[in-house]
Order: sequence, then structure tokens, then C-alpha cells
Amino acid sequence: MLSDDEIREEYRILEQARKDPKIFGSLYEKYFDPIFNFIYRQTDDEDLAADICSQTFLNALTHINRFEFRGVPVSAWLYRIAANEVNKHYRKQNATRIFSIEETRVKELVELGQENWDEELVKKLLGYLKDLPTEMLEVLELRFFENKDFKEIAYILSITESGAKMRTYRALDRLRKKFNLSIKYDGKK
Amino acid sequence: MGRNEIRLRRNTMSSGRIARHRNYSELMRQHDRESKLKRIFRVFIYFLIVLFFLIILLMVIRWEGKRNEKVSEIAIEQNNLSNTTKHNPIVKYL
Repeated sequence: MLSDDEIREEYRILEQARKDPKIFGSLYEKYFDPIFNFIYRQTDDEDLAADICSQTFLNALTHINRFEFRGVPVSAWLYRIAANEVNKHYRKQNATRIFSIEETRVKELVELGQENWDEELVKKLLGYLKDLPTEMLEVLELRFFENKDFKEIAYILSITESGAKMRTYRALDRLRKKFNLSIKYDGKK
Repeated sequence: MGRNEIRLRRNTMSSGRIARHRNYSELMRQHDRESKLKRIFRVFIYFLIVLFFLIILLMVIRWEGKRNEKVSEIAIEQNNLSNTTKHNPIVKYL
């Protein structure tokens, strides 16, 4: 998590980049990997993720004057552009949306209750996630895989903070009921 | 078939592999190209706007010229008519 001063520093870099686009390079280097991973998780295609990622940074650079300081890190703005680019891709292709998640991250996220972590449980979990609405999956991804707070999630998905919280809690409640699993989340089990 | 396809990956993408796709100079080149195209497009739009107003101005000038011609023709005709009536003794007493 970035402090207020760090967020303001990033904003200052962005302000300077409006006059000299080369200065944007430091933000590019800093956020390329997380943005790439975010897109890759939603496409599962390395080349496609690279294309969308470069389009994301190009859009950011082109519309740099439109960025307004709202107390969120610059990364949230980049995530927002990336999310819009991914949505645009799926709309254009009219394809089923893919979420590619790392097994290790899922294991980190879920603490086992009484059951053991086996293939059957993984299949059940994937089946459950598959049927979740896309909006809920997006929120879960940002919260648990990208470690974003609700303010950032709200900004990225253009929803309210309470809306982001509600979507997360609903998804987690369903998960708790269905799998008898404890989720490491807000100290709640 | 669910609403989404969920895939489970064994490995995370390594940062070395991601680095292969990182190319800031290419991004700058693309940005320069786009800025140039945008500028050309903007100039073209300004040109079209100026052209549009020029055409309107020309049309108004031509229309006004034609109107003036008609007015002067009518004035000449009326002038001629009044001259004829003035010097014609028959019309004078009618």
C-alpha cells in the first residue's frame, strides 16, 4: 500500500509527464509487471496480454491530461484502463471470459477447514467460481490477487466503495456456505 | 458451461518472461506516431471548418450580388417608366 506522500509523488511525476512524455517511463517500469499479470489473469494468453498491456500504457500516455487526482495511486488509473481494454477485447470477440488463476495463490487464500486440499475440492471450487457473475469475479480478483483496497477497486471498476464491499462479501459468504472453508479475510472466518 | 471459464495455473509468470514484452522506446514511438496523426487530423478538421465558412461566405456574396442586380434592374425599369409617363402628353392627362 502506498502512503499519501507516495501517491502525491506519483501524481507529480504524471503532471511532469504531461509536458514531457519521457518522464512517464518511471511509472511504466514500475507498473508494467502488475498490469501485465492483471491482464494475463483475464486472458491466459501471453501475446494477447502483451498487446493489451501496451495498448493500456499507450492510452494512458495519450489521455494523460484527463487524469484527475482522487487520492488513489496512479496504478489504479492504469488498472482501470487495462480493465476497460480487456472488456473491449471480450466485447469485440464475443468470447467466454477467461480467468486464469495461480494454484499457489488459491492455496494461500483458502485455509482448509476439516477437508483436505485435494483435486476434488479444487474442481468444486473452480465450478463455483465459474458460475459467479463476472462483476463478482472481477472484484475478487482485484481484492485477493491484486491486493487492492475497496477505494481502489471502486475507482478501477467505476462503482461505489459500498458496492465493491457488497460484491466481495456476497461472493465470500457463498464460498463459506458451499465449501465449509475459512477464508483469510479481515480476521473473519 | 458456466458464465466464465476458470483455469488453474501451476506457475506464476516470471518477471524475466514479462520483461520480454516491456519496451518503452516502442511505446514512445507509437505515442509520437499517434500524436502526429492526431495533429494532422485536427488541422484537417480546422481546414474543413474554414472551407465550409468560405463556401457560405461566397454563396452569400453571390446571392447578394444577384439581389443587387435585380434591385438595380427594377430601379432602371421604374426610372424608364416614369420618364415615359412624364414626356407622354396622353398619359399625362389620363
